[in-house]
Parts: sequence; C-alpha cells; structure tokens
Amino acid sequence: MSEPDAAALVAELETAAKTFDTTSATSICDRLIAGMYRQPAPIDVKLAKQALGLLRSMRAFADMRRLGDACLATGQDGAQIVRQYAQALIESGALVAAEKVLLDLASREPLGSAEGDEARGLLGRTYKQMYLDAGNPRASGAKEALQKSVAAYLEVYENDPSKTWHGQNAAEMLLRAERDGLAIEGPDPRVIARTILDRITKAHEAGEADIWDLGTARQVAMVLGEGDVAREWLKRRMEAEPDAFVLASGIRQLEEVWGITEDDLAWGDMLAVMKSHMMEAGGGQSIQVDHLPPEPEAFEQRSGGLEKTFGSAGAVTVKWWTLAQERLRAIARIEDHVGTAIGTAFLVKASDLNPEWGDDAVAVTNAHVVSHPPAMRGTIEPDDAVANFTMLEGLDPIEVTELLFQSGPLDLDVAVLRLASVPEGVTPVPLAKALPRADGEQRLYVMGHPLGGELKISIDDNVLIDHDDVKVHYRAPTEPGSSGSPVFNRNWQLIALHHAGNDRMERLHGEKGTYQANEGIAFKAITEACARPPGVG
Amino acid sequence: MAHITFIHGIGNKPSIDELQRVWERALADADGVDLGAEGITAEMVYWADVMYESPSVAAGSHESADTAMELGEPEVDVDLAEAALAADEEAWLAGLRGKLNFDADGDDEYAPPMEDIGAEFERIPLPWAIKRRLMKVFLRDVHHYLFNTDSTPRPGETYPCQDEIRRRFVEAVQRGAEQDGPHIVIAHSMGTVISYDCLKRVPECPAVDAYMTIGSPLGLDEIQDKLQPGWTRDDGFPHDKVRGDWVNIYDHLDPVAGLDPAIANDYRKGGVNMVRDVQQTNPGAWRHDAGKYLGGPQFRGHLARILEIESV
Repeated sequence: MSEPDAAALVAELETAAKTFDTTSATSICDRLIAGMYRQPAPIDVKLAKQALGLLRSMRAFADMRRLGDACLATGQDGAQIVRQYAQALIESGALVAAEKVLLDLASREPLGSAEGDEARGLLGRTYKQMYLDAGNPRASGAKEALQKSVAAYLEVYENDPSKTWHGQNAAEMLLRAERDGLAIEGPDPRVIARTILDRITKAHEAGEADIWDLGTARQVAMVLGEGDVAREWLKRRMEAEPDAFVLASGIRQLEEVWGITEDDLAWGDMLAVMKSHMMEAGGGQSIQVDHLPPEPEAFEQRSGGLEKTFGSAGAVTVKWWTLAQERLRAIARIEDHVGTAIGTAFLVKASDLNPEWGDDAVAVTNAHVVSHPPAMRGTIEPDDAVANFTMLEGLDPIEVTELLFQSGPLDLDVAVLRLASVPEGVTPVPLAKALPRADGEQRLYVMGHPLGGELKISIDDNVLIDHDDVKVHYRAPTEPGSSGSPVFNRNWQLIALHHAGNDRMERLHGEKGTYQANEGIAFKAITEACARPPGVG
Repeated sequence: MAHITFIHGIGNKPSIDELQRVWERALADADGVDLGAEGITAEMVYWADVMYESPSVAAGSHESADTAMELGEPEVDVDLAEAALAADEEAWLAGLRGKLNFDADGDDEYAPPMEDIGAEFERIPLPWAIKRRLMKVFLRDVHHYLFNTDSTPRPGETYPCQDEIRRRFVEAVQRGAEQDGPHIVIAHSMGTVISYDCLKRVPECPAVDAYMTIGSPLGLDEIQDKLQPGWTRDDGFPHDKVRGDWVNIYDHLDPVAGLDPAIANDYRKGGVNMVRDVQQTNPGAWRHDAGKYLGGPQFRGHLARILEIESV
C-alpha cells in the first residue's frame, strides 16, 4: 500500500469517526491492515498515529488493538505507536499485556522525555485499573498494585511538576488509599492537589490551559473537597466540547476511583452532567444506568447548586439527563414467571394508542416477545409474562392481564399489554409528532435490557440512517436481546419500537442493496394500527 | 412536518452549511427547538456571497458571540462615504445616517462627546468603533439591496444585488412551499427587509404560513420609503402572502432593531395592527446577534406555538 493509499484510508477513517460509524471504521481498518502487510516498508508513523488517535476518539479499542498489532508486526514500533497500542490494551482490559508493553517502553524511553513520561503515566493507569478491578482492597496483589500506581505517577510528577495529570492521579489514588484504609507511602494528597490547582489556575488565566488541564483542575479541586471550584472547572471543560474519549475518562474516574453514582449528594450532579454530554458526543458504548435519584425533589434541590454554577447551559444538561432518567423509569424487563428475561417493554398512555382503552398506561413490546399464540420459538404467552420495572426499587414484577392488540413479527411486530397495575409516579413515554430528519445527523437513543441484563441506554454510533412510514433504520448497534426497546429522538420523545438488527438489512424506499442497520417500527404506524382494530389480530 | 426558510442579516457570513448549522444549533441549544429531532426541514437563503468575496472564517461574523465583535481590519471596504452616489441615494443615506444619531462614516476610533450622545445610545454598552463599523456595514448592505446596486464580489462576477437576492429568496420559498406541513420564514436583520420586500412586492413569491422577524430595521422610515410601491402604513401587512402570524421580536438595546423596534403600527392590515411585536432581552453587550435571538425564550415560545411542538 502506497502512502497516498494509506492517507486516503485515514481520511476515510476521519469521516467515519465524525459520525461514530464504527462499522465503516472496522472495514477501513481491515483494508489498512491488509495494505500494511503487502508493503515492504512500515506505514508512515504520522499516518499510523493519526489512525490510532481516530479510533481512540471513537472508543473503537478492538480495532485500535488490531491496527496497533499490525503496526508493531510490520516494524512500525515508534514510541507513540507502542503507547497508543498499550492504551488500547488497557481500555480493552488486557492489563497484564499492557503492563509488559509499557515496562518495555519505559525502559527504552528515559524519565523526563515526553514518551518516557507518558509510558510511566500509563503504567500508573494500568496498576490503578488492576487495583480497581480487584474490587477489594484486601485482595491478593491489590495493595501492591495501588502502591505501584502511586509510585509510577509520582515518579513523573516529582521529576517534573508541570506534569499535572500524573500528580493529580497520584493525589487521587493516595486519597483512595486513605478511604480504603490502606497505608501507602507518599506525600499528603491535598498538598499535591493545592500545588496543581494553583498552577493550572495561573495557566488558565494566561490562556494556556488545555482541555486536559481543565479536567485535572476539577479533579484536584475534588481532592481538596472544594465543590464550587470543581463545578466551575467542570463547566469550563464542558464548554470546551470534549470528545467521547475525554468524557469517558472523566466519567470513569468519578465512578471507579471516587465510587460516585448519580444519586451521590456531594458529587452526583457532576456525573449527571458529564453523562449527558457523553450521550450528546456519542461514542462507542452503552451507559449502564443502575442508580436514580431517590426522589425527583431531591435531585431538583441538588441540581439547584449546579444550575447556579452552570447557568442555562448547565441547567439544560441536568434537565435533559433528568428527563432521560424519567424515561428509564417507564421501562420494564419482560420476564416469564420464573424470572427468565425475554425482552423489553415500556409504558405509553393507552389513549395515545386507542381512545377506547382509557387513560391508564399500557405496556408495549414486540410480538416476538409476547403474543398469542406465541409468534415464534422463545415468544411467551401473555398469561406467562410479567413486567419487571427494574429501576423502581421494591416493586414486584407486575402480571400481564390482557393482550389489547398485536401485529405479527413480519408486520408491525408489536404487542400492547394491559398490566394488573401501573407503577405509581411513572410518566408514560410521550410520542413524537414526527420522525426526525433522515439527514444522517440525527441521533437516536435506545433504552432497554440487552440480553435481559441491566437497563442500558445505547449511545453507540446511534445515527438515524433512513425511514419510511413504517420502518426506521438506524446505526445503533444495540446489543442482542434489545427487542421491545423504545427508540427516542433527542427530545426523549418516542419515535419507534426497536425490533431487529441485521448486517444485511434491506434498504428502504425500494433501493437496491443492503447495509448494516437496526430496524424499528415507526410508532406512528403502530398508533394508526391500534386506532383501527377491533380487537386482536 | 413543517419547513422553515431562514434568511440571514447584514455582514459577511461563514459558508452556507456552517451558517445553517450555527442557526439550528442556536435554536436547539439549552433545551430549545431541535428541528432535526422534530423532523422539521429547513433551508438557509444565503446572500453574503453577493456582496463579499469569500465566506468569513470567524463563525457567525456579525451575528456571533461578543468576542467576534473585536473587529480587526475590515474584510472589505464597506465605506459608502466616498462612493459616487446619485443624488437620491445621497439624500436617502443622509436621512438614515441622521437616524443613527452619530456620524457612521467618521473615523472608526472617534467617540462623540457625551453631550452629543442621545439617551438612546448611552444605554448601549458597545464600543463606538464597533457600533460605527456595524452601521457602515448596515448602511452599505441595505443601500446596495434597496437601490439594486451592482456588486462585484469576485473578478468577473457582477450581480445587481436586489435582483439576485430576490431570485434566491423566491426560489427557496417556492421549494419550501412544496414541502409538507406549515412553512415558516424566519428572517434576521437585513434578511427581514429582503423577505418583506419579496413577500409584499414580488408577485411570484409563494405564500407562507407564518413569518418571524428578529432584530429588524423595518421600523425605519427610510427603509419603508424604499419599499414603495407596495408598502403603506395602513396596509403594509403582506396579507396575501402571510396566511398566519407575523411575530416581530426585538431587543431595545439591539443597535439595528432598537432604532425603531415596534413595527405593528407601520405594517397594518386595513388600518388594524396585526404584527405581534415582542420584546426580548438578549444577553451580553452585542444584542443584534441572530443566535441570541434564536436562543431567547420569547422567540422560542412563539416558534413552538406556531409549530405546535413541545421542546424538552
């Protein structure tokens, strides 16, 4: 592969990265790798670095690993390439492999050199992850990993105090050791934090702080317990429009190192803001949601402080995220009576479907999840189905009492179910008036219980591709088992009922050919069909 | 679903795609009206290239954030002071300059003595150099349009401004009329003069369902004078072409709209006020910004009402 060819492929990758088109990215990687193996000389280091960086920004770590492997195997083993490869290993959980690669890199690149410091920082990150993954401070090797993590970060920071990211991590891990009751050697984390905060504040005032500095400042302010200061830095960072990778790093740090959830009264609002920005930025993963504010009022009260700091922009994201959480409360896992998960369902107002069905909420799922007679193998009868609202603590699964409407899997693939009771305080999902524009830029959000597991919001590459009056195609690689999930527009209004995904989905509007896509049924088609019946069939 | 035809205001602009993106984002930001999510199509009528050589690099230019108003060297010569103008044009310009309450063609750095500053302008917290430069752009763009002056933005490319911009607007409205659902025109600044001119005075311009003007100078006598024949104070409302509301949003401290902000009494239908004049307070010093108008609660409230949608 000549350099122009490689450059063209990297340019293609750049386009794919802009829309989080991970399917195309994988295919481009295939071609890039095949080309690399055909050439006698290694790929140009700049191109390799750019390609790896693009994959990182999409959080496409499997492809990043493959490409890194191919670079190293074909002789492109520049320090930057090795470092990015190690990063992919860490992100995909191959921590021991990452440690070996980074130890080797650190032995090649001296302390104080750019790559040497980066390698040591990533080693600190690797050991930190080992400690966090252990999930138990007393586990074999856990304390040792934490000590190594602190030592790796501190080595760089103490040698060069301008390496604030390393210092911040050292401070956070030392604080974590305090919280976990582990005696770890090192300075007072608050002293490190204060020094770093002063330094970044000066840099910011001089207009010299970058986006990573803003995140570092927020985190050291947290080490100092200065909430208002931390929120001010978070605001600055969000205004700088960080990409998905940057956001994910911050979210991971809050969740894993600090153990914060959205209902944390001290810091949870910051996590909510970052998650909502993450959903806006898209990027390679689903967000698992297993914590809700205990009471809407409590969240309101708490977010008041955040709104004060963030002004209208901050209030938006909190409000938007709150609305997302409200939708989550209306989603149930459809199970049989022994608790086997079958699919997802969600509540809509019955009168939105058919005025004669009354004002109560009813549950909507796919006919291939629940129908009578069962539409296919694995489908259960309404009598055997219960709706388990997993976000609502202390609520037993609710029996299905009536099948109000169904349309088979090859038609609208929908079943409308009346439940024995409707959970209190849950708002049925509102319906969108129209489908979003099919201009390739509209984001959709799918909420459900993939494979019957925890409730998740898919934010992965979730772009609307096309739609007609009945079908909606989107590139949101929902995990298998998301049948019956609601598909929302950006305003959290229901636009479709998810029902299938296929690598070779036939295109709409009679166009020839196939593409990789998920398919939902336009909800307007379902409401029109429900208003038409009589009865089931 | 609905369709919106946007038309921008005075000054150079970024590329058409970028400008439309900036406007749509301003509309959607902060829990606003997300056109894409609502399935609402839109088209920007772009005319900056009729007067300017190439798109501006700074996003938004005269419509962007306050920082963009830290003006450097002018991108083009917008000074009409030394242009050779016909007597009627000179007279018209003199009238409009008089309204501005200071000499827009003077030295950019000159600030008038306090006693010469009218109370109206004292309240506008804008540096004089910026205000004067804005008014130069305003005078030039509005003059070129209303007098159909030839413009040669690039070598070998000459347009009679009004003919060319009218053609673009009318064609966009024709395309919008073919879409499903209500069709709304949203115009800013000089775009309000162009859209009004077409809706009132160009017979082939199709009708629209609603009309929203923001930061409009349509209240100025000098502009109304040049919209004749067609405009009269008692029958200025383009009722043949605007089937529903005309909502005019202004900020008193917008240097363009603030000259004569409320226009209902100037664009009546059969002697009756029909235009809904709505005051909105835009943030910051630079109140003429289209983005700030699009992001304001009054504007969004009326747009959501017209579109019959609920935003987040």
